[in-house]
Amino acid sequence: MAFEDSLDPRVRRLNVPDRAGEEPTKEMEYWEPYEVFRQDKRGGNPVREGTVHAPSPQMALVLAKEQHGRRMKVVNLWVARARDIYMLNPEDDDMFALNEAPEKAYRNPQGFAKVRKKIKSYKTQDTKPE
Amino acid sequence: MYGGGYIYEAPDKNEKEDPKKLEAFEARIGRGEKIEPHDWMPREYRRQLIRMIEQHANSEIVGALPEGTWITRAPGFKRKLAITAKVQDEIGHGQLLYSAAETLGKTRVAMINDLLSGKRKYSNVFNYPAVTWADATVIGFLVDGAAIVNQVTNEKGSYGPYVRALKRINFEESFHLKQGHDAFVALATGTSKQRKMLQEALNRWWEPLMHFFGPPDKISTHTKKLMKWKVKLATNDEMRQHFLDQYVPKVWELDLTIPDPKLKKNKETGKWEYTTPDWDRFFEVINGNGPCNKERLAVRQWAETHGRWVRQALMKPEQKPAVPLA
Repeated sequence: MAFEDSLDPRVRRLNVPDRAGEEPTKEMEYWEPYEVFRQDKRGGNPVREGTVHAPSPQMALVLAKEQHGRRMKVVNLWVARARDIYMLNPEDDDMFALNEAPEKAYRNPQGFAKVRKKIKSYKTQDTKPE
Repeated sequence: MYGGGYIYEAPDKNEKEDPKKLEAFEARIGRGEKIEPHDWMPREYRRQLIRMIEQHANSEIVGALPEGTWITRAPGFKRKLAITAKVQDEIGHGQLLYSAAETLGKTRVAMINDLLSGKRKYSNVFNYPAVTWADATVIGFLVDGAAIVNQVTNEKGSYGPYVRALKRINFEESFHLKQGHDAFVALATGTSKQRKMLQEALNRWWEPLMHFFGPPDKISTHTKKLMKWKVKLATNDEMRQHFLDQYVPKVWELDLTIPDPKLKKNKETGKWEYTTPDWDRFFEVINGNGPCNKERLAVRQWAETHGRWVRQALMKPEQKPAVPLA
């Protein structure tokens, strides 16, 4: 089975053998995942863009450039081994539930909105304290 | 490109899920929130998604082959650069999608092996040959167009990693579609010989295009559940109608003939009517008897086997099993 009548001249040249007897690829024969972060401009935050599979950080950068840096704006790419990145349990997201609630207004500028009113009322009152 | 006409697994009726967790999961999807890899999810949701994303990834990888055929003989330097860039994008899409599927627990190696053994499929459309350059332009315009209909629909799905991959893919597809349309129009507005070549390619590809979205759905409880979980977002027929709406006018405006005398839009129903595609032929090709099935898999196997020494030479002993995070 050499596909001599293939429409693809490259396939004809390859002299592709019959597939019978080909060993399947073994588990762990592929490289491990690295997460890629893209910085789109100087001063911008690098943001997670995607994944590449690589045998080393250096190769991960080469592949990241190929996979995530060939069209969009890029000034730099970062990579980190996926297994070196830790995250919280997503089921615990309720610990952030009150972040924007009125109970935490003291952390936000909106929690201190009545200053001007106080000043105005102070200025217009007839008798000022000693 | 290139997903479309996915094959789903028959659900396991004996499988029981924790009703409380299931309720919370469905409520989350109902609110329009996404599911992330470390969330609880029903087993069937996981299984169907793996299967769908994997088929999509396989289609990207195999889909690069019929177009790759024409890289060496693309007419002119600009077209050669464009089709090379496009084929590279398609392989990149395959990579993005394999990573998304890996977050659900199936390893990349297992997916590649299942593709090569024929256990898992890729889009049927790539089992047909690209006979002339005009075939490459029909693929670049209409097969990509069909795939975009499918992918833009799926971008509204519920699984975070798949949705993110699709956003990136659809962004790149906008270039593919433009370059495909440009090459298609170049032939359509060219010499009578070029027009004839294009018409013949269109005749060859119309049936595979009608097959692209898969057989008509019988609305089963199975499909209903997948739609509720936002795994499937439109029926095969809905997507086919959408495709015809968008692309038939673009073919007709160039005075080309679509090889289906029954094809017309019914003004009353607003739906396209067409000759029922030969679904026996569709299944025959899916099951390995299309014109190019054997060559496609043999070429993939060749690449896999001959690339092996490179992977092994660079492999570090400290490597550990890991999955992409998101």
